[in-house]
Amino acid sequence: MGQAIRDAGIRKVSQARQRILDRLRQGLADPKIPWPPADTPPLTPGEHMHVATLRAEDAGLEQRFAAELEKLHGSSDIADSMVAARMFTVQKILEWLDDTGPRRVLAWSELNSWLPGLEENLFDRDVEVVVPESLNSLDTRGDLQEIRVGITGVEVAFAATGSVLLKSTPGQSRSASLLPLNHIALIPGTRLLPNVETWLEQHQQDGSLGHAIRNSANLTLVSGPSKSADIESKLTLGVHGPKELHAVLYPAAG
Amino acid sequence: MRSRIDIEAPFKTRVKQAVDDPLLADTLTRATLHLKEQKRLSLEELESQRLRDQMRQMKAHTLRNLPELLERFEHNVVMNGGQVHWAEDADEANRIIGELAERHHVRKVVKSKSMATEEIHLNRHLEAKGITCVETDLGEYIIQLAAEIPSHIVAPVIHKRIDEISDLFADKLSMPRTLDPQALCARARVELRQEFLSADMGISGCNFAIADTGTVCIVTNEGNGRMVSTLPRVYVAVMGIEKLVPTPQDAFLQYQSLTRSATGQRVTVYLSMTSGPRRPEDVDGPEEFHVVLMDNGRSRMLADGYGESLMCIRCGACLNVCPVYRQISGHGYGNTYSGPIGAVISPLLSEEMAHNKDLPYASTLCGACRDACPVQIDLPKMLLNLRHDLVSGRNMPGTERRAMQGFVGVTSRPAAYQAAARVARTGTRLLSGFGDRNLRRLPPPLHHWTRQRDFPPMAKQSFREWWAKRSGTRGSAK
Ligand code: SF4
Repeated sequence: MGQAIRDAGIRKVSQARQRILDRLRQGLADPKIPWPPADTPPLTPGEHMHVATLRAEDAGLEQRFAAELEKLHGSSDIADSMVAARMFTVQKILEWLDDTGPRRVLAWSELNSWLPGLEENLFDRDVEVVVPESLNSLDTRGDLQEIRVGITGVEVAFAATGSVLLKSTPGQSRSASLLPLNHIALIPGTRLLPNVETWLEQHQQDGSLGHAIRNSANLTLVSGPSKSADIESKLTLGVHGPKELHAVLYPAAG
Repeated sequence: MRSRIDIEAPFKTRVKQAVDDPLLADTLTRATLHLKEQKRLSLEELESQRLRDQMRQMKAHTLRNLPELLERFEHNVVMNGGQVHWAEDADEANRIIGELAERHHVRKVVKSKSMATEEIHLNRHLEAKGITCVETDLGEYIIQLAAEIPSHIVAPVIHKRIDEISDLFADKLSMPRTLDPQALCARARVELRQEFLSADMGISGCNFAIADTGTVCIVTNEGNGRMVSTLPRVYVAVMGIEKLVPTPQDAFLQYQSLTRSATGQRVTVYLSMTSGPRRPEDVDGPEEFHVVLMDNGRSRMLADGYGESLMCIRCGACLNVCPVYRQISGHGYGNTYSGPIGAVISPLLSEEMAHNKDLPYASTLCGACRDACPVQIDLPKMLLNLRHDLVSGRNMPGTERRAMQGFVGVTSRPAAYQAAARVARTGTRLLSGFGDRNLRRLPPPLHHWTRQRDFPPMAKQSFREWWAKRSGTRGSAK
């Protein structure tokens, strides 16, 4: 980001800014205001409670993740090898691609780095893997609308809530997990943690938390398929995002 | 079909219309009870009190340091490549967004549900400039088809039955009538997808924003929050200045507190965290990212002694437990913010001040809202203070003045209050056969008060206990 852009942003400073900050400071300086108390300390890192946690009866991280995701109307396969994971993945994709629609999937780049051989497997089954470099034009997006399946990896996944954290980077589109009706997420065991607090603490400890949050334009925590209860409190799926979310969990090689 | 409540009508008329609508009362009771049950189940699983305490501490710390946190947030948004705009009031916020839209030749805006933009009536403003605004939450979309304003902070069409929605889709979209919610939902998906793809600007509110990283967070279940922050060229987030949290850890604490209190879920489907516009090599995302920081009465609320209400995370829990809300529904309040929290903040927000002097009376002070609040905001105390301020300081209609003088009088004379409360308790019991209906009239001198609001069944903590505590702790807010 260039210095010029930064300056332009800061020069946006208006009278409003000064007046608002002044009023707040004046209000806070008045000892008679009943709230907030003068001496409330912050929550220090490490003090935050773990809100959702593993339980003694959880068989393992994978099992807990799968159970939680199922409660959220998602589904999953737990594979005991990468080969099995590839098989589950291809199987699910073929199930979703029915004969009427295009045999195309919208994917993150380098699927083989998530599951070696996956791209070849899909090619063999006559499935085209679409990895857009840039989604700017409405035309491209209109074309992508026909694609019914999205494939992504994950930045990290959390067992206690059945959630996956997706990070936007060059090669990792937001669209792949958002536009298609079905989304499959590949989760190597090395990226599966008990809960979000564990992840926050890990980054806090090595001083990389700020970077982890802001070094990409977007982070999205996804827990299950898109849903709504706006109509008479009844569950409906696939309102805007995917109607189905399937996770494949597998041990990572070496 | 339109709601039977005329939101332009005076408060008293709105309340009467709502109370007299048996279908509405029934639908509302079912929906709010369902939400309450959901919430109870998930809260049992965790140390809920600890969560409330940590939230309260974090929010109090945030408020105490708000000026510095706002400056830090601004700095970080700009470092991320975004732009920050400050708005003193609704007019200024509207003007800023209107100018942004004009600069980018915006013809269509897609929005995800935002109380902040409702608060400033942004749609009206943009539409006056010839810009189309499409609300994209399923519930908001239905409301927009029916041209109403939302009735509940988290579940906007809580008052509509499915046959009414089907009628609406038949009427506006020529869809065959159906009672299958999934079919209605699928149709809305198709309609709205076209809107997302053709919009020039996305606008959302902000559930919370992280000062340390300059990150705006929005929470949705449907995914429209992701759509509006991903697909259009320009993304604008509108937020009240109180929405900040200091750190990422605080953000995830608030996120989990919010989801549990709002709908009883452990997590929502989506939490979208935006730190600036798309990066140079990114595949997708907006080219520009703007944050509008809006005061609109908030800094004055802090100075006037109502700072506690600025800790509100807009979960809606206080609405679900409120007997008044259950009786008159959101539209009875005639405001963006309804329920107990709306009764406190609506009269204090600049734009809405003029016609909201009735609202602090739209509560029974039963205390259920404070017990439900994930930040433990003492709403009854603030409502009472507000009534007091309104009675002592400002002009109000004759009935209101008499009602409040009666109320203030009786609560400062214990014997009179106890006598009145005894009758109220009997009355509550007598009327219990009518389900949720509360006592309609109190004996003098409180009868002026019950002319307009029902007396509630007594809550966990009695009014007397609460009053005693209040007298001991009340500061000298003017
Ligand atoms: S006042 Fe409390 S319960 Fe009501 S919406 Fe705000 S945070 Fe939720």
